[in-house]
Amino acid sequence: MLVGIAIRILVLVLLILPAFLDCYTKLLAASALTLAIFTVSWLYLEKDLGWASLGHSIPFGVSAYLFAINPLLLFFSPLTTFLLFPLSIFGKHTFPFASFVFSVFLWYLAHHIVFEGKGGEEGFRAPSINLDLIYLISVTILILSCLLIWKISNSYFGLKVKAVRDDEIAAKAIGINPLLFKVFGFAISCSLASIAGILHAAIFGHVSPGVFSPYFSLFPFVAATIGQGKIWSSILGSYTVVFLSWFLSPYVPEFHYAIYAVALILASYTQSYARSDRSV
Amino acid sequence: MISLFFSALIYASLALCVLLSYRVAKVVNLSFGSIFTLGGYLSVFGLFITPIFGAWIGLLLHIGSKRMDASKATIFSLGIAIAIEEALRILFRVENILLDSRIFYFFGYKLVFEHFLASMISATFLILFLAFELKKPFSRLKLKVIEEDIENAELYGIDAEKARAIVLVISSAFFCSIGGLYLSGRVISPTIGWLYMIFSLFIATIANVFREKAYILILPISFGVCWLV
Amino acid sequence: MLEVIEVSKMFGRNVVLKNVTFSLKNGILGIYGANGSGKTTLLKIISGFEKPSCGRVFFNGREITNKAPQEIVKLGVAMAFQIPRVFWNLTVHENVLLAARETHYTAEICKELNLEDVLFKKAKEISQGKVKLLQLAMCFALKPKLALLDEPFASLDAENVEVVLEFLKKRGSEISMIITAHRTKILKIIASQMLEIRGGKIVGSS
Repeated sequence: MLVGIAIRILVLVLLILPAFLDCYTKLLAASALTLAIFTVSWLYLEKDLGWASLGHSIPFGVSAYLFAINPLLLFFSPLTTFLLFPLSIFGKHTFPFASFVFSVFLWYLAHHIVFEGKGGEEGFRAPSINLDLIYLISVTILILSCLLIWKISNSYFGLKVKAVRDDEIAAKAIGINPLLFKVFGFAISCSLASIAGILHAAIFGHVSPGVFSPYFSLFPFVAATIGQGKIWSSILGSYTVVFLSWFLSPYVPEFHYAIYAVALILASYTQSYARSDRSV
Repeated sequence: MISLFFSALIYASLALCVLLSYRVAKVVNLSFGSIFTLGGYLSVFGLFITPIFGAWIGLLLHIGSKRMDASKATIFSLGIAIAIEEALRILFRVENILLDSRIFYFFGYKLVFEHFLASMISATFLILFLAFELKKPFSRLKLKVIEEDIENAELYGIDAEKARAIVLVISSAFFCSIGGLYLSGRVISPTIGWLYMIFSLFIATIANVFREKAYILILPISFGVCWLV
Repeated sequence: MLEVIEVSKMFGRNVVLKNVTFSLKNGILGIYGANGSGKTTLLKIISGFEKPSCGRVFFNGREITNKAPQEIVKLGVAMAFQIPRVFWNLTVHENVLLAARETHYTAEICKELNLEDVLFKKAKEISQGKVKLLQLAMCFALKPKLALLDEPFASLDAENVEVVLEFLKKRGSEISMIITAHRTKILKIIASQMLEIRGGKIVGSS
C-alpha cells in the first residue's frame, strides 16, 4: 500500500514538475506524457477486454497522419477502431501477432504515402502548438483518461465488459451481446490511442513512417510489463523507457530496443496472455 | 519470369520454415526476420558462418521457450528478434551497408549469382522435405501427430521435444543462410528482414488453410503470391 | 409455451437429431437418454446456440428458430450448460449480479443454492460442484419463463443434489423447465412429464 502511494506521488511530481523546467525537459516530459496516455489506452484493452495488442501503433499512427495531412481529419480518428478491431477475428491467442504484423506492414506502406507532393519517407509536417499549452492539455487528458477508465471499469457496464472478456458464450447465455461490448471497448482504447497520436504529432510538429515502427507498437506492452500491469506504475514505466532511451541513446544506439528485448523476454516468463481463455 | 520463379522458390522455402515452426514447434517465430538480416551482415565475413550462427539462435530459441505455450513462445521469439536487431546496431555502427554481389548470365538472363544459389538451395530444401513427406509414412505420421496434439504425442513415445529442436535449429540456420545469399547486392539495415518475414508469413498463412496439403501446395501458392505482388 | 416441430440436426454426415417434435405447456419436462443421444444438442437448438438443419421452434407463439441466443434470453428462455459457462475472473456475487441485475435477488438466490460461503471468491477459485451451483444460480437469476437445464445433477455430491432438488421443486410452480439426465431415477422425483431420446429420435413419452 505504501509503495502504491509512493508511486502515485512520484507520478504527480513527474506531471507537475516539468512545467517549471526548461524547454528541452518539457519536450521530453511531454513525449513521455503522450506515450503514457498511449499506454493507458493499451492497458484498458488488455486488462478489461483481454486483448493484448502488439500493434497499438495502428490507431496511434493513423491518427497522427490524419492530423498532419489535415487537422480537421482528427474528428475521424475514432474510426481507427475499425482497423484494429477486425483483427480480433484471429482469436485472443493470435491477435497480438496479427496486430504486430499489420503494424509492420503499415510501417512499410507509410513510406509510400504521398499527398500533394509531400510525405513518403520524409513524412508530413503537423500543425505545431505552443509547448506549454500542449503540455497542459496532455496532463489534463491523462488524468481524464485514468478517471474515465476507472469509472467505466467499476460500473455495471464495465462488469458486462469483463464478463464478455471471460466467456462470450456465457455472456450470450445471460442476454449480453458480446459484439457490442467488444466494439465499445476497442473504440474506447483506440480513441485514447488516437488522441495520444495526435498529441504526439502536435508536440513534435512532424509525423513520419517511424510512428508505425516496433518502437511505438511495442511501447505500451513494454511500459505495462515494467509497471506490472497496474495503471500508475505503467505510467511510471512509460517515463522510465522514454527517459532512459533519450539519455542513453548517444552511447548505445536506439537504447530503447535493448529495454524492449529484455522486457519481452522477461514477460514471456512471467506474464499471461489471452486472458480468461480457460478451457473447461 | 525467370527471376519471379527463383524468388517464388526462395519464399516457398522460407514459408515452409515458418509453417513448420508453427505446426511442429508451436511458435510463430517472429525472430526469422532478424535472423535473415543477421545472415546478410554475417555474409560480409563469409557465407559459411551463416548457418552456424542461425543454428545457434535456433537452439537458443528452443531452450528458452521449451516450457512455454504458443503465445509466450512467440513473445519470446519477438524479444530475441529485437535483441538481434539491437546487437547489429551496436556492432555495426554504420546504419546501412552495401553487400557485394556477382552477376552471371543464365540462358541469356542477367542474374545475381548469390540469388541463383539461394534459389537452388531452396529448391533442394523443398525437394528433400517433400521426399520425406511422401516417402516415409511413419515419419510423416509422427509429424502429423505432433502437429495435432503435442502432449498426446509424447504419451505415445514420440520425442516431440527433439522434433521441436530439430525444426527450430534447421529453420533458423536456413533463414540465416538464405539471408546471407539473398541480401547480396542490396543496401541492408538492421530492420530490413521484417518485410521478408511478413511475406513468408503471409504465404505460410494461406498454405495453412489447406491443412494436410499445405506442404505440397506451398510452392504454387508462393508463385501465385509473388506473381500478384 | 414451447413447441418444437420436426427439428433435425446434422453435423456433416452425422445425424444427431431426427424429426424431433414435442411441446411443453407448463411444468417440468424430463428428457433422458444415453451419451450421444442428442439431449444437449436439442437444448442448444432451443436456446439458440445451435441452428437446426431443419425444423422450427416456437416459444409463446413466436418463432425463435434462427434468433441469436441473447435475443432468446430476453424472451424468457435461459440455459444452464452441462459444462458450466461462468465468468471465471469475476466473483460469485458478480456472476449472479450480472444475470439478476439487482443485489437483493442476487443474495436470495445465492442463499437458496448454498453459495453464501463463496460469495466473494472468484469463480476460478471455487470447487467444480460450487461452479455447477453458480451456473444454476445465474440461470434462475434471469427470472426465465423456461429454464433449460443440461445435466444439472452431474458432478454434485448427495448433499448438493438435495439442495438443487429442493430449489427446482420450489421454482417448478412458477417456471417451466426442461431437464436432461442419463438416468430416470432423479428425474422421476421432479418431472411431471418424461421423454426418452435415443439415436436422435424420441422413442417414448410418459
